[in-house]
Amino acid sequence: MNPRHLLTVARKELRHVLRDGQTLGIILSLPVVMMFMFGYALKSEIEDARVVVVAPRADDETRAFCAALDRNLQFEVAAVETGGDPATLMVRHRARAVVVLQADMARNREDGPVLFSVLIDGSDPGTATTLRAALPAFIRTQHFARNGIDPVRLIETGPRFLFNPDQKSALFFVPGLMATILAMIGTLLTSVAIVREKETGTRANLQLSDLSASEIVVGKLAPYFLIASGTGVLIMVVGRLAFDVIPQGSLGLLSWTTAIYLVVALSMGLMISTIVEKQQHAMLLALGITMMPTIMLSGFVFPRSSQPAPLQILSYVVPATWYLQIVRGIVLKASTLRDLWIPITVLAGQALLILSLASLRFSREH
Amino acid sequence: MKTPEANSSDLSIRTRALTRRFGTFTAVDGIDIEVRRGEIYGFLGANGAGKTTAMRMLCGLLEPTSGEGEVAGFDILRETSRIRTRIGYMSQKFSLYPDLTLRENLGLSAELYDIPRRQVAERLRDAAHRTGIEPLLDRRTGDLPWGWQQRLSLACATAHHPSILFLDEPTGSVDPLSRREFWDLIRSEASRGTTIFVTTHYMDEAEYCDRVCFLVDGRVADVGTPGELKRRHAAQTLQQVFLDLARKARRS
Repeated sequence: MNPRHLLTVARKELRHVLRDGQTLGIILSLPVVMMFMFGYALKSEIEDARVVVVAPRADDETRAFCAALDRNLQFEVAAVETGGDPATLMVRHRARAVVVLQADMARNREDGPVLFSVLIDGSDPGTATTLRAALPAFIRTQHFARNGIDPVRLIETGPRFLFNPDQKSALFFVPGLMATILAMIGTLLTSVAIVREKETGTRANLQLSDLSASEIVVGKLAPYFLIASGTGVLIMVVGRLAFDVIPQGSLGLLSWTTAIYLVVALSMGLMISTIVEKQQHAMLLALGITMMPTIMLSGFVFPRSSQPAPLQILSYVVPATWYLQIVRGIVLKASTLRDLWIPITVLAGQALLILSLASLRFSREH
Repeated sequence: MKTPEANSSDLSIRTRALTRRFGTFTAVDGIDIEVRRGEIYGFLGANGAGKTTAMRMLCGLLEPTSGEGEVAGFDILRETSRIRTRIGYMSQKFSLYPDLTLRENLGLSAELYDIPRRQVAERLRDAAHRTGIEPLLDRRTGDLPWGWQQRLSLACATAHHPSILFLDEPTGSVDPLSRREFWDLIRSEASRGTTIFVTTHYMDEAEYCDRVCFLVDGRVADVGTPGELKRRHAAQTLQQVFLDLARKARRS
């Protein structure tokens, strides 16, 4: 391989990208826009959820309970009622939940349990799941506190989350978006860049030149590798500044494993370019094989364990499945090479396989 | 073939029974052609006669199904990489990058060939000068009218001083005046000793050629100087020769 030839192709390719302001703008803004979209869409934390309290008598205890509920940042007391149908109340007060205190709180304080029931608006599954855990827990804590029992000691016995104790959604979606966006951008840019030359006829210039097929492949992939790497850095920086995602593990490990993942993405783009003849087809194929499998199958949004067996098997083929394990491991658990050798080996194998197949097909066309 | 026997060292291109099939369709059907060094050789025929397919085989862009050929003294089956560096190719399709400037396009085509580094700048100046694009070198290629883009294409195809220049319908959608100017450039290329192999379906352009080869249904129907052909077919113009030959076509 002649470095002068590589530089020629790489410089030409970089010029195309830099001169096409719109594409460049999309490449840079897409990750940021997606991060903020996911940041709010996937948000599992609740804030000021409206709650209706139904208590038979408005005594001091009830008022104290309502005040405490209202003070908590997660909830807001929408109304206090003495009775009525919970469903009607929920709709009338636009509430997410109704808490029905079934007995006189003051009298039951020492002798026997306080009976309460919590009814949750199930029409919004996201909020419902969070409320189901948060609201009863809050009421129990409140009760223990009033009876002089240290709630912390009791709550200790319940399940706790390690690695993401607050269940911050950013810690889920930042690694997931790394996997999704890098695959999309890497595959899309490469396939379109090569197919464009087929479409316009400029490919013949390269074919008739002194350049070898491998020089063209490496020269063409290098700039897109740099651009996709830049996108990866951008995602981590936005994650750090806007969503407080601080990787617990080694950035060096994260960098080189991400480089392997990018080789997979770029090779898929190269492969596509040897199959289709039109930019539009390249674009659709690139998005089709990267976006949906990465979001649906890799375990980014839906747990793989709850997928039917055929899809679980298919998910082993999706590179993002392995990369996601690596990024989540490094970002959340400070995992090391020793913990991650299996997904890293599989990913490297995929990179090698797809790159060789795609290069072979490309040189045959050359 | 009634072409006079030529010494093989005087030939730039020579083929024997060159054939290319696409499935059951025979695009080029056993053609024998001989192109002499330094001549302007016109390759004429209706759309679909096999002109572009034949040319792509000669350039090493397409593998022949059977037959053999030599271009610039090298075998078109085994020595394609050596042929590539000795030919210039300008296709009917636009083969420049519209988002780059003329200077960048020209520079790129020089870099794609191993021109010694010291000579690059001079070659580029020379190519730009010959084609008259010097004043426009820093404009964006896509912004220029077709005629200028064609001149740039020619400059790019000749920057590495090829011994044979392949032109595939070079004046496809250029106005008559630009076409005439473009042919002046082609003739001055030829006068510098470059062999010109040009496909066209403009019969007035064929008159500029030293020799013309008519392709019908993938076969060579007739070859000769424009004068010879007209005499042989008792025609006033090459247009009439073409119509006489094309009447026998089975395709199209």
